[in-house]
Amino acid sequence: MWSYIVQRLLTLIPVLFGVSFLVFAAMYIIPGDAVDSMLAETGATAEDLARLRDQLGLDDPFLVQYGRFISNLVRGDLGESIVTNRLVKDQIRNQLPATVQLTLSALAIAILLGIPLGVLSAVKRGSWIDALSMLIALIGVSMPNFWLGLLFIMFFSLQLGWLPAAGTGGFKHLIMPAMTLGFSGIAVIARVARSSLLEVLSTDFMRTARSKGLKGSTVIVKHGMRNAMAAVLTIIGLQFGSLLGGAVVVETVFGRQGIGFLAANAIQRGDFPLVQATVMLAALAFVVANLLVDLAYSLLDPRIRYS
Amino acid sequence: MFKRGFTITLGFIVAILVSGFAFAQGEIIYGMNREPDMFDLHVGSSRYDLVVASNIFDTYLYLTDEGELLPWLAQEVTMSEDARTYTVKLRPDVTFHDGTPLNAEAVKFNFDRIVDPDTASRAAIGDLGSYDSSEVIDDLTVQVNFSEPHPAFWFALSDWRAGGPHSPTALMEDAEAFKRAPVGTGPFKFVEWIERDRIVIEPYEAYNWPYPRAEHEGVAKPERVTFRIIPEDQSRVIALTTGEINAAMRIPPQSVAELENNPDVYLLSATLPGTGVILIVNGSKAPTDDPAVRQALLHATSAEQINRLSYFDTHVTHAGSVLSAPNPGFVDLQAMYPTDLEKAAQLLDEAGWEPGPDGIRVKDGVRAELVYIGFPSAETTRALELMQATLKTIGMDIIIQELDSGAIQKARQDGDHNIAHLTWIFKDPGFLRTLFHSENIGTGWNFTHMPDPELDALLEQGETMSDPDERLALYGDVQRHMLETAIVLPTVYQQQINAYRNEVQGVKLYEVYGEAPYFYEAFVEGQ
Repeated sequence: MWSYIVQRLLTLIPVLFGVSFLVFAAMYIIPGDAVDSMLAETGATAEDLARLRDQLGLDDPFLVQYGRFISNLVRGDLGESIVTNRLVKDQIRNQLPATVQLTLSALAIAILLGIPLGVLSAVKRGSWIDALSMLIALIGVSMPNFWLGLLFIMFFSLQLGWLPAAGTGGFKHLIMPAMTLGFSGIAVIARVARSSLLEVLSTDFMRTARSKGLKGSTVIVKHGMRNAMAAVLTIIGLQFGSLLGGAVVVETVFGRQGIGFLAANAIQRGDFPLVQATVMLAALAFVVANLLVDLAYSLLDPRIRYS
Repeated sequence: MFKRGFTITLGFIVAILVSGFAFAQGEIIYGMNREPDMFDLHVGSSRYDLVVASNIFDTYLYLTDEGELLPWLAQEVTMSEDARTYTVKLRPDVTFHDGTPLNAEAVKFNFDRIVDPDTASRAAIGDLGSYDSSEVIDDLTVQVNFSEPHPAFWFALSDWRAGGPHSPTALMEDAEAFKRAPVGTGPFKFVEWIERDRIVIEPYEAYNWPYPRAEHEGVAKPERVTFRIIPEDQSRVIALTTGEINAAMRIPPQSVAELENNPDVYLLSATLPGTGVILIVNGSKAPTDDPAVRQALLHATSAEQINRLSYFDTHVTHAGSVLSAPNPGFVDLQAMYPTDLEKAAQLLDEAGWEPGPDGIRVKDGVRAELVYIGFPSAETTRALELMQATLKTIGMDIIIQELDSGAIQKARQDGDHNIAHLTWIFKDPGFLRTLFHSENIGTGWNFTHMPDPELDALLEQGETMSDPDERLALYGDVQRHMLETAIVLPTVYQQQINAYRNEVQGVKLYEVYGEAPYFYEAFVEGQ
């Protein structure tokens, strides 16, 4: 088990290298750079631009720039933002807590509402409950975060005046962003939970369990759910990735602190040290989340053993 | 068990509902759409830096809306005949927020630091042109020397970047920290900056040198000003409507009518100097290399209609020149290209552009089809679609390409466009050299791609002319010339639209540098 975990963590190294190379190459190929974006709308002349590029080393060949980045990275130096001159590691440290809070809350909402919704509609298959919950799921999957966020703000802030429209702060500031981000997760998880539970419900061992005289709810939870959870777990792992992506939009709409908001701005302004760091962080989080999911399989199903 | 859980939850919800929004007494909470980059104005270049920094730093001279320069931190400034030497005499009682005095040494330190390559100045260095050195004459007098005539230094002295003194003590102690915690001489001192959330400033207790047109003296009125970062327009407008914030910048045109009808809110609007929102026409790429096509484009486009249909009449229609009305030297040139579709069609006919099979005109195998390159923005997209529809009636078309800022710059420098979006905020008309001198084609900001020796000569002359009236008259010629060659298409002036809740009074919008709201005289009523 431990050697498996170590092995999996070691695969992170090539993954992060690959990600950093792709991001660096993409930023290099995209026309325009941070200097263009910084000096837009100021009285900078062609010489000013050239001088600044030279100072920042943006004129060096691709491999020289990438090599410099990697050698700094290996020494644990993420560099500083070209635009704000803030240390990248400070920025990540300042912004990460808000994003962790948001994505974990959204994930919790998605799991706590998604699974019961899916189970309910599988058990009451074909009933109005099933139809209603699948309608909610359909809306959840199709509705863009951006729009849902604005709807929430209009209703809960403007109409009812219950919650603040924007900002970072306590629990009040978290409710709407977490609901917005979690909503599509509810939908996805509910759909998967329903279909995999339906599959399990029709198996022989379920019939056996019922014929032993076990209570309906015990059969569903202990026998049905446990077997249906593998597929749900997989989707939760994947959802984590889309939550990170969704955080970019949600943090912007709600004017929340966070890595997503940071990354979106960095990309717009060609601030590549910051883009690199945020994308690599997201890759890291995604890989780790999926490792956790894989480990959870073995808890659910004793037949799965990692070595 | 269930009941208890329910009670706790209910109690929690009620607690949230009754807690309301926490405002400090006399606090102004101003919603911004973008976070500033830094407050070391010697280094930085973002307009958003100035929204906050204009309250933390003062300038040597104060530029009025009418373009007059009044003494502020400098009691007196004199310029030599050849415009190469300036003598700046400071007022005696000014101190930085760290208690150190503003003296001649501090002024010299500031100018020297801006041009020092180690500073890596992005914008302030441009204000200083051919700066050579500063000499301390006495404790309060500095002589500033330039290697070439530099009449634009007058304006640099009224610009926060080069003309807003930073505390030398604080900079020498930790220049990196200064970017996040500035020390100036302004009415407010910096308190805190929570990244991507808020910036807080509070009155400087020793302040007693307000700007020349201030209506009171002494310490600034508001107890605190908090700048909140809320990038999404709709969220910012709603936060203002609910009272979560009591002031906001960048009100989008589509929300103006809604806020005008809201009895709790009022709007403040200022027209910014500079180019306004203009389209630059590429004079070297077909079909706009043909003057007739450029002129037809100008005759076919109604700036008034663009304002009405794409900005919902929230802006001021451009008076046809490349400068905006608040710029010194501005000339109204509306009469040069009255909107006239028949005239436009006639110009195309005369130049040999014949309608092709799909109605779009063709000449020598070239279609009268214009590539537009600009930022994705609701207003400009609407304007371009409107132009597209109008131009089709005279056999022209527009291909709209919206890119991100870096890509736009590259495309504009490479000349991939026929028409390109441009806005530029600047008071002194000397900035036109950056945008229209042929030395800036290809790597700089001249997107006309049309070398024009006559225009170059005028722009060079304007840079060194020392008689202010003659100089402004010369920029009148520049504006006329650019319209004659039809390389710019003005649409609307840039408008800074702020909204305030009724309790917030006394905010001044300093139109000269765009986004800057001046909070010195502001106060929150009833508190």
